[in-house]
Amino acid sequence: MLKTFSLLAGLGLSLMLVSCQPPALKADGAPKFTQEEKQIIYSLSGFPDLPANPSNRHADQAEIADFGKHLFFEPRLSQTGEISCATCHDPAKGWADGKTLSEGIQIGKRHSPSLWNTAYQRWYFWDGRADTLWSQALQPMEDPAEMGSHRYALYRLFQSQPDLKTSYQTVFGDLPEIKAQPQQSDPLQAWQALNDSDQEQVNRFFVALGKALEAYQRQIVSGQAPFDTFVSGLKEKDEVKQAALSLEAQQGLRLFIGRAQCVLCHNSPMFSDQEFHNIGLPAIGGAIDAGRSEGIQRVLDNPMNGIGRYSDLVDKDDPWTDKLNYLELQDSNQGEFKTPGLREIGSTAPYMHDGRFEDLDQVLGHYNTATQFTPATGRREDTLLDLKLQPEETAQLKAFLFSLTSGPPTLDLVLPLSNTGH
Amino acid sequence: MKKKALLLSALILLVSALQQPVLAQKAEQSAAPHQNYRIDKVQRQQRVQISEQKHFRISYQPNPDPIPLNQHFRMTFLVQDLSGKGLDGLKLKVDAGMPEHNHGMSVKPKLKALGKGRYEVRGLLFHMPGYWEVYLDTPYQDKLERTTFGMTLEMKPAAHQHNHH
Repeated sequence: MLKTFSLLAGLGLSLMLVSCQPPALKADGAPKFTQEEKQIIYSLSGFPDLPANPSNRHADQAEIADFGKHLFFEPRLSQTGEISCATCHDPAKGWADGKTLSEGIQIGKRHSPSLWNTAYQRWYFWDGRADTLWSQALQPMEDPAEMGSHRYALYRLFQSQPDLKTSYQTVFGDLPEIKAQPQQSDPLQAWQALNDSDQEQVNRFFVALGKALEAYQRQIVSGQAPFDTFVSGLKEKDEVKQAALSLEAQQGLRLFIGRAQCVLCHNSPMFSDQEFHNIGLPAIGGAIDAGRSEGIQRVLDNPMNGIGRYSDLVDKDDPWTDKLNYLELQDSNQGEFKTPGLREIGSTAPYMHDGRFEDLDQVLGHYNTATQFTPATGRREDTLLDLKLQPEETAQLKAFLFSLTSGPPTLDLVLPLSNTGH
Repeated sequence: MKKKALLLSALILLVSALQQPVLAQKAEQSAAPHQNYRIDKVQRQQRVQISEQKHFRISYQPNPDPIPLNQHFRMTFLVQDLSGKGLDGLKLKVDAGMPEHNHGMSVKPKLKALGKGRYEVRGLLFHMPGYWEVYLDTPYQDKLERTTFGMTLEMKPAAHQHNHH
């Protein structure tokens, strides 16, 4: 009888242990990742090949990328002659500017996003109002708050500046000829004086600049971060490589893919789903930013999008066009912003579309109590639940996020062409 | 007396152990309050389904296969009656969502008839890992009859990897 009791007690104890099993740990307290966890972790490392962009036939041409690099750092492309793309996307500042709101000719409405791994994005700008990197690159040049120029002013600039004209002609051939020579000094008035045919020539020239800028920016891909070394170590059962992540960061990784569920939106090696979400950020003054709901209309209306007449797309039935062809404004788009990639996040503060959070503590603080706020606009996604992280868990997640930083860009991406042997 | 105490302890342990999974399940449900699965776990594995009112037999073939996470994909449905005859000229409606997260897709896919009971849907996108349901509504008399397909999207390493600088 006693044996029966012992057996019963033993069975009960075993069942309880199985059902209450805590997450497996190694002797040193580091997580012993399960096969399921490993599968997710492996999916976060190792960039896929650069995605094709059939709308830009120059996207992967080295000489066009060199010209794009020249353009990227060229302040003469701005109305004041003082602002270049690199002003807001400084390679020394994580290809961003470290400021709350971007500062071009004027203070902008949003925070400058980092350009790290930009080629992997499906949409551009925080609201996705561009569907290609070349289409994106054109807009700041004409935005009064950013570079404040105009496509016709740029055309005149390239006509008048021998170095710019030569560098353009070396890769794209002669500058397009336009018949009219409007006398208006204001480029917008001069542009309006051009006939359709001449405007089309200027548009073609302008689009070429964007396509060259894309070819350059496609090269901005993160290097190997400590997290990637850890993943290699996990695959190879190499403890030395696994030590690239501190114990605290490994615990943070388990939280990231587990209880905190960050990985639902921050997935793939870019740590982004490339889509848009309303995470319930409250209003902090100023105008309400509708985000994606305005971006959708703008990208569909833009004649310089990936399916418009300036696209190099050969096959109009290419599945690449599905993202634009089947895009539709939904009520849920109100107040949505693009999921930023988390690679290099340690060097790209501040955070969020409006740069409201100075550091990762503030970001994680929001997710700790996300449902306590009334969203500035729209409806917060139901996916978000209050994380209620303990202080040590916040520290663990931060340690993991900092392990996604690979370091500064390679010199060939940032040095002038004459110094890089081209 | 000792034996009785031991028996009582054993029973308490057993009952608590058996309760644990139930409690865990309850906690899971409270964390995801919007779960509303339309098909059971076995059906979720199947690419062929019978519609809810049992008037149609519908199967699907994704392209690419398996369905990639967070990439646009297309899907071809074969709509048949229960005798296996392909049905053309139907005004179908398609949608998809994640019952665990109470959200749908961020896109509006469209259907195109291919003939012989086949219909292609373009513009699908599953942007989040986890369990998705695709809903195909087929007209029968003056009502729409729903067929639900389940599919689980997992996070997997990229097949081809870019060289880090």
